[in-house]
Amino acid sequence: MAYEEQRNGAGSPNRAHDRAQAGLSNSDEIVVHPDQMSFGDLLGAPTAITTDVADEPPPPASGGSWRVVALADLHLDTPFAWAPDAVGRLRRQDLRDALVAAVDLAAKVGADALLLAGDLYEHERLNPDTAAFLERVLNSAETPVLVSPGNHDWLAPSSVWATVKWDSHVHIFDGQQLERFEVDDGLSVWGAAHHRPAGTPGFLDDAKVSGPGVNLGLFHGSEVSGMSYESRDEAGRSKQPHAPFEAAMIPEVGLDHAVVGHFHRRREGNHHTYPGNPVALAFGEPGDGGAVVLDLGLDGRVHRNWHRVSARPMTDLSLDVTGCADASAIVSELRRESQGLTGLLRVTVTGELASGVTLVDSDLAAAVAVSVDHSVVRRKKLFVGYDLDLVGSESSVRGEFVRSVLADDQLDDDLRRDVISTGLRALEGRDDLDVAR
Amino acid sequence: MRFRCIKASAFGPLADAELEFGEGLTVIWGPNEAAKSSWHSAMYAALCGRRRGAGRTTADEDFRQRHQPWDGDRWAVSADLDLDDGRQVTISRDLASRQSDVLDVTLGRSIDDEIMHDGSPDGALWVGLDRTTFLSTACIRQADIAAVTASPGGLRHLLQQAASTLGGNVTASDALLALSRFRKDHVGQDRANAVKPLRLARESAKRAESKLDGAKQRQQEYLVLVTELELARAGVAAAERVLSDVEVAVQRGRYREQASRSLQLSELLAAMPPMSEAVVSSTELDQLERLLAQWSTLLSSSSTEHFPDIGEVQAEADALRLELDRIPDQVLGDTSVADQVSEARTALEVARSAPTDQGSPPELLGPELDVLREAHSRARLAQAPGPSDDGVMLELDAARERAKTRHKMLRAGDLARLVAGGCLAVAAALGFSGFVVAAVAMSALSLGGFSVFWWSRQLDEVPVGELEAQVRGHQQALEDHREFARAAVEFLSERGLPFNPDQIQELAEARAVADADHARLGREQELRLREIQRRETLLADALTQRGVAIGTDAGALDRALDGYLNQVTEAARIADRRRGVDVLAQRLELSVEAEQRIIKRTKSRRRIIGELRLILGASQFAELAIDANTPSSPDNDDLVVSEAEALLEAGRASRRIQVQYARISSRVDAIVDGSSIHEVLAKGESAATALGSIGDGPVADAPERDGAAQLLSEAAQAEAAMAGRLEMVDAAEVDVSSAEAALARAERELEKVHRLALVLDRTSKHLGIAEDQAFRVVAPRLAAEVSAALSTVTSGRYVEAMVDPESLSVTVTDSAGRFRDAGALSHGTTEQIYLLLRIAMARILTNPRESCPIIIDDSTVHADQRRTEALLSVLRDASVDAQIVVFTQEQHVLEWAKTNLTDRDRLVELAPVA
Repeated sequence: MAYEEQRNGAGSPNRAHDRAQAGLSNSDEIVVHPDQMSFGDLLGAPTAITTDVADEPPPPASGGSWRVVALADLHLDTPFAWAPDAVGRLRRQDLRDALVAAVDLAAKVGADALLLAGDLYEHERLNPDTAAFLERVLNSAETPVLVSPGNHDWLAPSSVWATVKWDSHVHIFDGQQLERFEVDDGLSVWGAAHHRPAGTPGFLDDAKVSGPGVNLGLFHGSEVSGMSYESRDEAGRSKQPHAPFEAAMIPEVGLDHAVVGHFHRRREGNHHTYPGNPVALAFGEPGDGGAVVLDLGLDGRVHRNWHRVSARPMTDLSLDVTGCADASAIVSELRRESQGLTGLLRVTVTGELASGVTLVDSDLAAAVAVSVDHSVVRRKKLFVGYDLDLVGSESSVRGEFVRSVLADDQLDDDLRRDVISTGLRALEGRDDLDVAR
Repeated sequence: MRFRCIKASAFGPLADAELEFGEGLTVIWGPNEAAKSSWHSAMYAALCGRRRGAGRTTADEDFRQRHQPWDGDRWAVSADLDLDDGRQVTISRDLASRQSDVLDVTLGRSIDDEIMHDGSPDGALWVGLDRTTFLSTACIRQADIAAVTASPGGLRHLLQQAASTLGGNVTASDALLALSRFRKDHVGQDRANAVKPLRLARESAKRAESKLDGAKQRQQEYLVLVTELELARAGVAAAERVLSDVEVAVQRGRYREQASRSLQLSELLAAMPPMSEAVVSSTELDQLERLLAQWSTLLSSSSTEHFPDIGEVQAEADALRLELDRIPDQVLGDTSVADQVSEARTALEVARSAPTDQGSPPELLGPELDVLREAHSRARLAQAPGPSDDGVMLELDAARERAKTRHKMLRAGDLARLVAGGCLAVAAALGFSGFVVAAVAMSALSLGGFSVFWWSRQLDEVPVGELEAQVRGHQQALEDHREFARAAVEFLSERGLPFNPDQIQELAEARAVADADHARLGREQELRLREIQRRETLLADALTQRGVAIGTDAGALDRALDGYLNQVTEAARIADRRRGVDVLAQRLELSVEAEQRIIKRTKSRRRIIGELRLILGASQFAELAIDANTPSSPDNDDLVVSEAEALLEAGRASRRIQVQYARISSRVDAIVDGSSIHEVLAKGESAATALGSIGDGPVADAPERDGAAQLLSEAAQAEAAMAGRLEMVDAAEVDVSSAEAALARAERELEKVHRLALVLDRTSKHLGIAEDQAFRVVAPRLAAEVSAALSTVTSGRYVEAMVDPESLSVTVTDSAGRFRDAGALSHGTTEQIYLLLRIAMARILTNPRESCPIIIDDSTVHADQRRTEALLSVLRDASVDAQIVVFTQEQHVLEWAKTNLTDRDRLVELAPVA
């Protein structure tokens, strides 16, 4: 096996020894600090993610030990439809930076392998630049790289995994059933690939794994009990199950542990690890995923340590304007709330807006703390504070208008609220009639 | 609700000041700097208070700056109010801290919650208003009155404002217009040339969608290119493998060819025979082959045919010819009985031998059947009874009796008529004579006489003559019957027949059966004779056809038949004798043919042997047993043939060796191909060794190698071209993600515009409905309210007001019934009407259970004394229903108040604040 020859040639059967030689103690922990990037850096300069060494828990004390770094669900080329064009591009660059950071992390922690558990990119959005990026980064990695294509980066004939000339240290699992790849004496990784974007059966169905040392699974699939914990998107859609399996099947088929992709929330099972998506793809995602360092021992112990490799956090901020007498009060409140935040910020304006207040989204965006790279403002369940009982009791046109709107059962609540606010503003002689903007 | 008292602990310039109000009209007069505006604001602040939301509005700040205490005391104000429901209420407010306390004085408890609005109690809620709308509804400013007369539509516009927003600055029409303008600017039309947001957003979405489609298309093309490049790379690798294999195969083929040549050469050399001379020439060898083949044919025919002695054959032919000459010639005619003759003969014999046991029909005895039938008819009629009279005789006797009776009655009638006529004449006479009773009696008799006459004439006439004719007819028929019976007896007697009709009937039936049998037997005999004649005719025809002549006398047919049969027998006998002629002739022909073949074969044998002897004699073959002098005989001929066959075999062997040698030599030359045999053999040995090293497998030639090389070249070119195309792909054009994001943004923007359009459209719709509905309710009530006071305030000049429900335009009618636009009347009248309308509006638009106080501020500042007094009179009258407070600095107002206010009213004179 070419890879084995290369590995043997490197003469590093014990990565712990390598780590010691690299000046990294077993107790060092490596933490990625992407927050050090400035907005200007993101716009023009190359990404400058740096890694520092901190307390990394020691590997298993007795017997053989191996260390791998796992990453999944990066989703390069995600469109980020919620964001302006420039922000979307920045965010896509964040995705790339995260992979670079993970590769660097694997090198710096002296990992025996970097495991990529699928959905590194999205095939339907693949472009030559992304293909070149993956080729450059993975081929230049100092750590062996093992890839199990997922349902988004499935092993199509035109996929990156099938067409790029990978160096010998990059191994693509291309079988539809688990196949063994010996990373090192005593550490075998069993992986498989999705060969279509949907309908892939579970990789653990009818599988049987055996071999000396630690047998580690690497694939992209849905742990069935975890489906209900997965976040839903804003349309209420939950993730679709792909290559489903049950956690109990992992030891049953003979695997000691499995690194699995697909769930965007990180999960730490007894026998499996979902790294989660390292970069939040949308506001509302927990963003608790990242690159995870797994220390595996022959005695069955697994130690996991997550590292954030995202260059930019995404924060959801809810701004309740109830009681704010004027726009300035709202702006002040937002300025205070956004203090200290960085990265991307979504401000959700909610609550009761005083009837006399004119709220302009751009004013709010301008009020966000300068430490935030970019912000988006949305209004949700925001209503103008009219006393509809009082106004509706009037015998005037205004009262008649409120009664008419309230009695219109063809209007949903949001539309009714907006119509009333718009009408009452018009009757006040105001010109800020677009109450939803 | 009415203000009773306002206390300003500290409010602007006011400190520990108090202001009391009348139940009806309160006129608060004061010169400049008398704090009228402060009292006005204090009233408002005490009643409505200040909102308690987070932050401060501009209005709040303005209020604070204008009315906070000058001396820094606690900023506080309170109001005592009388509600229409009888409650007395005190509202105390700390305006700095915005703390308020609303106390029900009677019950002594707080009622803050009852009027809580926007964080603090708002007394305007009692009248159905709030601290915002109270100002515009309950407060009439001098500017409002001025505006009424400032423009022709001022009155209508102010009314619309009041009805729309309780006195705000905007009418419903204004709001609808603003909505329309806003929609036009922020939504616009969805037309091709439109430049407003809706069209722009739609076009933007369309462009984004098109761009996304393009990006997806190019991304697909890119993926195809990637796949094709991968395939091209695979093609190059495959072509390289093929070329390598082909080159080995070419080498293998070369080695194999060399080894093969060497092997073939070795085999040819081993198979090459020694050279020898020919025993017979090639021509003679061919002749030998031909002659021996002819000999062989001759022998094979001898083995299959019998060749007897020619003498025997000739003798047999002569004997056959003699026998043929002895056989007679065949006679003409049938040699067997013709079928039609035989069949006709048999049929005739059958017909003639048919049984004739029925015999001739029997002779018929007795009377014929017709006679018997006549006799039966006559006997039956003769024995029948004679005709009956059917009672005619008795009927004739009765008729004659009735005729006699009728005659008597007629005579009695005639007599009664005569008597009646006489009685009538007597009665007339008695009547004329005065004997009335007698006249009547006579008249009665006369009437009875006439009655009898009438009755006699009613009897029917009796048909005696007709009955007599019928009796005569019957007697004649009876005589005819007797005559017929006598004739019948005579008929039967003459023919010897019985008189009993039944016996005659039996005879007739027996005769009928006999007649039928007789007729049937006659017909059968006739048919048999006809059949015999028909078959004799058939036989005669058959014989005639066979050439037999038949006479006409009896028995000619039978004789002709016998002659024909004899003739056939003779012809058959001759034919039987000639039946062997053909066999004899055939045997003769065969004998002649055999004779000819024997002669021919003998000639051929002699020719072949002769030629063979010549060849044998000329040959160099050493093993010959005969020579030219050996006589010809069958044994010698066989010996000649045997030696010829030996010579042929020796010649053939010699020729095969020569041919083989020549062929091998030719192949050796071809294999060696200019080289030496040693060189070829040495190369073959080397090639065999090389083949062992490269192994077994297919072979190929140079063209195949060239082809493989060409394929590799083409594959490499294809890969290079594909790689070039891939490098030309612009990553920006394949950026599906950005295109998707752009489309999502464009669609969101379009959705926002759609949503805005929907909101604006729904708002306009409901606002239009509300305007229509509110005006429709307000208009008649306004008209009624104003009409009630119009005559009073206009001194009877105008008596009725009408309000248009669509525009709230006000029209009044004077005492003469003429219509006038209220806005076009004199300013004074218009102002009076406006005040009435505002007061009415306040009543209509507020809580009907709680009157709303009206506060008028310097409303007469621009009016002359006469108009001012008229207005004040209107207000005083209106204050009966709602408290009215007038702030003024006008001296003539003060004077008017001193003169015209009543006990319900109050005049307050303010002094300048120190």
